[in-house]
Amino acid sequence: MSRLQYTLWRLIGIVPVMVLITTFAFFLMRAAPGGPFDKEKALPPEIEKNIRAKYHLDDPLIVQYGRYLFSVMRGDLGPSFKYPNRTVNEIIVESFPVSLKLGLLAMCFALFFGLSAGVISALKQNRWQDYTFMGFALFGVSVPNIVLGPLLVLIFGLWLGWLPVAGWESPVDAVLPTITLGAIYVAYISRISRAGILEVLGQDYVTVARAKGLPQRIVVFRHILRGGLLPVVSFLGPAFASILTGSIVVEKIFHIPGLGQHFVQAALNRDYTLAMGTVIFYALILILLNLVVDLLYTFLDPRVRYE
Amino acid sequence: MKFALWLLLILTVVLFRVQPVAAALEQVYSFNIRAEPETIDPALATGMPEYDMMFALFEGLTNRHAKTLEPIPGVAKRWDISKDGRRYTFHIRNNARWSNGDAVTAQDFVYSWRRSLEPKTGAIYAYMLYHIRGAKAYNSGKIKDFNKVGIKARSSHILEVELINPTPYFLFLCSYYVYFPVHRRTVEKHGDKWTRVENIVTNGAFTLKEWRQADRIVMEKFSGYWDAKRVRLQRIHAYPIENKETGLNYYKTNKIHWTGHGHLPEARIERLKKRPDYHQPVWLSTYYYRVNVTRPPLNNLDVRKALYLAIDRDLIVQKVTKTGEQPAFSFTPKMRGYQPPRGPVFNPKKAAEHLSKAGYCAPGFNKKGCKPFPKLEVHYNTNERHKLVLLAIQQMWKQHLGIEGVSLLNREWKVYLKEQRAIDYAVSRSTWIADYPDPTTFIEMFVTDGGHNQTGWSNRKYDQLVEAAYAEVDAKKRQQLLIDAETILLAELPILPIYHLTSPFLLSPCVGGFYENYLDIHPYTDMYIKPECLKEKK
Repeated sequence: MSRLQYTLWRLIGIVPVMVLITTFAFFLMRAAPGGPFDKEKALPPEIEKNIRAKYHLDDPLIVQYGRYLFSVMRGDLGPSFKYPNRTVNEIIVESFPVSLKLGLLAMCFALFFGLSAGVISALKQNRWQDYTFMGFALFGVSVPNIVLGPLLVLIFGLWLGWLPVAGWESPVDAVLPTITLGAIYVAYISRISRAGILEVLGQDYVTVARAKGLPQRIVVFRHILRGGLLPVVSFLGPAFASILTGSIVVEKIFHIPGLGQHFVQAALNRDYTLAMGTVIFYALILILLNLVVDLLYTFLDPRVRYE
Repeated sequence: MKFALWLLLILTVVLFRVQPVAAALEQVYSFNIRAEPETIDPALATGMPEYDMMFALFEGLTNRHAKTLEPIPGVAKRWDISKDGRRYTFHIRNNARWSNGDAVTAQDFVYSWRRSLEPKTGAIYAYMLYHIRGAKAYNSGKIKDFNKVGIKARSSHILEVELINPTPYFLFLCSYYVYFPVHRRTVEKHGDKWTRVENIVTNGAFTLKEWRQADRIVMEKFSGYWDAKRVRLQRIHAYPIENKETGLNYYKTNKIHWTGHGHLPEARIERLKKRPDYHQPVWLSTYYYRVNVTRPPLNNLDVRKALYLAIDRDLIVQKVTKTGEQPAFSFTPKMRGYQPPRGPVFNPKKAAEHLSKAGYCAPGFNKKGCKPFPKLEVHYNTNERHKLVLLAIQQMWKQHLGIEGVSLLNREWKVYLKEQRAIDYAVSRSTWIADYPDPTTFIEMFVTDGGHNQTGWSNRKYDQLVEAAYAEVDAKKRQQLLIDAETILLAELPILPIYHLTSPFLLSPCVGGFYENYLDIHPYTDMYIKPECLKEKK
């Protein structure tokens, strides 16, 4: 199977998966008790009737499902129940780029520091550099962002006054959220890359490269990294997806207008369309990211074949 | 490695070239609006953040006095009320303008109220218009002819409204969002998208300049507003910050002047209370427990009395909630023109006596053959404070009544609402915040089969008294009827009032014209940034 055929096949496979996800999202959402318009102050029956009619909630469930599925197929995720003057598409288009930007910054931060720490630790195995970096990595994995974020805000925002406490207006606003969101991935990447490189270090082709008299820099960048980073690449796909979908805490702490907040809040609000819309959208992102990683893998490791 | 270090150094220099938070220049008032407003369409909006925003953008027939919240002239320069209190004639001022320069007319109000009442609009707060004759029938589709509804434009400047009952707070309602006018051509041209920054036309003291979703809202003074001379603020910045800690940090770094009411991190209030900029006005509200009177043993009045009397409300407000709440011995808080009847105070001995009378074993009254009190579940929605109050009450019931089996049932918000609505609980925590400053907003909740009753309680006399109060023109007689009704409520106890809430907040001393009041509504037309602050920050 050629690369193109493989890609096409995978892309076609997305359709049934998405239908399944839409179906699950629809029925799970509807199975949740309560509705989008339940508030502390109960509505008079006349009003409830009007609202149910307006949003077609009085149709049989299966009819609603059919209508929703059809509209999703056309790329229309419907109007939000909570924000009646906005459509779900608009909300995603407006807020996803923010989450994406934050996610990319956090990923770059994680890759830069994670890889540096991983490579140094592997090359200086069991020396003080190794222990220091791996100590930090352990710290990074253990401290959740709900603790790290406020801690950074306290130190750099309130005590030192160097950085804004929250917001998303100027580039400096991104510093603390990036670190908060990326810290745990710095930790993961450094440990994974360290392990990957250690495995490669003992391989014949590295010994051969060294025997050829190549300088350390070339051996590391051309030979060791390429093989040693494979585990990192396969980690990146799910990690990036999890950075994108898991940014809710960071978005809340730093008042960032991203999509993450809607992901959870919409479900709690029973904003059916917005909750289903974000689930469908994230599912698509996840599937596409996995595809990208699979394709990337074959570039890096010629032993991997398409099947 | 050198390269990496250089890159890190450059990044640090670039990123850390920081300027602490930009200070406010001139007359800019910033505040935490607490949540992203769902919509600013007067027909569809419901929450407080929405009101905080719409109060700047729209103006109803009346406005609210910043200190007292009494209705003052808004779009209507004056009004006449018929002797029976049922007919209001509003005289609309000539210089009231929409932000596009059009005149605000009586027809605008007819159109807007009609739109809110059209069943297809699906307006949640349409029921606030039900005071108007024919409004409910039109909203529920029972009548199709809008001419039968008591809203008439006699001319472009005279609006006549006919009510079902004399409604003393009707003028107050006229500044409520569902009573705000909308600009007909804009709504018809843009449909659902008419509230967008690029489309919206408003008639308030401010216009919408920018709305970055979940990020920031900017409103600017409208020079064509009829009372623009009085308006001192040039701009208003509203930040929808849900996280209370983040909101507090914004305040501490001078990014906002007001934290928003009831939006301080609970754990920090003890320390914040010592600050001079801390305020905790009492809110027109009640924190109470609903009791399912259809379910044994709670269908026994003595049991309800025992539960009520065994709650030490003073202890709760002093040791548990600690933000200036006032113990509640009535369901309706005290307000202008209404002195609620006072229920009995904490009396553990009497409480035990009532429990014993109901046939249950109680401390000091362990009669022969008494039954131990069965298990009692109390529902509450996920919230640390609700839990603490409940733990205290659980302890009080255990200590004073010997009830061992009180369990706490924590429910997710929507599940909690659903169970409460279905009266599928034994005891359930609740809060009620007044919609308008009149006792009926509280008392009418418990009429038989009322949508907000949700306790299974019904009392014919109570219903009759409330009905009679609706129709009564004389203020004193009306008050007495409501007092009599509430006396019945407190004697029968389908609810256990606990305390009246406060709305703690921090307000920058730089802000003038901001007054504490019982509904926490702050007209922007009165607010300003003090000159000394402007100088400091320039």
